[in-house]
Amino acid sequence: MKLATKYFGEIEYDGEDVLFFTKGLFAFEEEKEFLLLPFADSGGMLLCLQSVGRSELAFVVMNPFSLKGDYAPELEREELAALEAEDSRQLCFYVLCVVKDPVSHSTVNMKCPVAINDENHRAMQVILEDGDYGMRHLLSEFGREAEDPC
Amino acid sequence: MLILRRKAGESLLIGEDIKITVLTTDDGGVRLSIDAPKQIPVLRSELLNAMNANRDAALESQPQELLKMLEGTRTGLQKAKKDRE
Repeated sequence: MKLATKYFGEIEYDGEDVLFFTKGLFAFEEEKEFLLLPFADSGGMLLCLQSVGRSELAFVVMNPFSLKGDYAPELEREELAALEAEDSRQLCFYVLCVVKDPVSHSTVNMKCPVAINDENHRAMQVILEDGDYGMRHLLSEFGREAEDPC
Repeated sequence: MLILRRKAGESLLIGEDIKITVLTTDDGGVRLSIDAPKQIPVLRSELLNAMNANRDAALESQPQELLKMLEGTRTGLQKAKKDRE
């Protein structure tokens, strides 16, 4: 299937790769289908969450574990149930970036990650109750280690 | 700004239609029940902040610049690691 994207021009994609957000994203509740497209040459650190329904709607997301090796998001029971997962550790997490100019002023939202169940392709954005995370961490705050988001 | 103290089981009435009851309290927080007409939205305040953060994240941006910055950091880190070995 073809899709016009914000950062990659027109791409071919497999319908099976689409992620389903039953509740959309905060402030974008009507957008239920997204594709996760990695930026080449980023070693898996930088990706794009592209809306399938709206070409111009796409978010730059990062692998949070590459920023903070001990990032440990815990979802509420209802959230896990909605994703049909038993444990937060079964899920993949990505955090949304606000890319600024100059780019060193960019921030990441560690408090509201996107949680993805790779098995059924269900996804949701959550607000973490626990943990000392904020919605606008400066990228420069983090030392970096390479880790897997899943 | 009104500041009140309520114990578990006690309530607050806001206007004619809104009632907030403290259900339980513990070190981790307060459990509240909110009785309000359907047309009045009741949101955790973080939700509004989360919506704004998402709106900002959806704006026009230059991820290629961010990519360059991250590449630089990774290369720097890899070099630092090699130098230590």
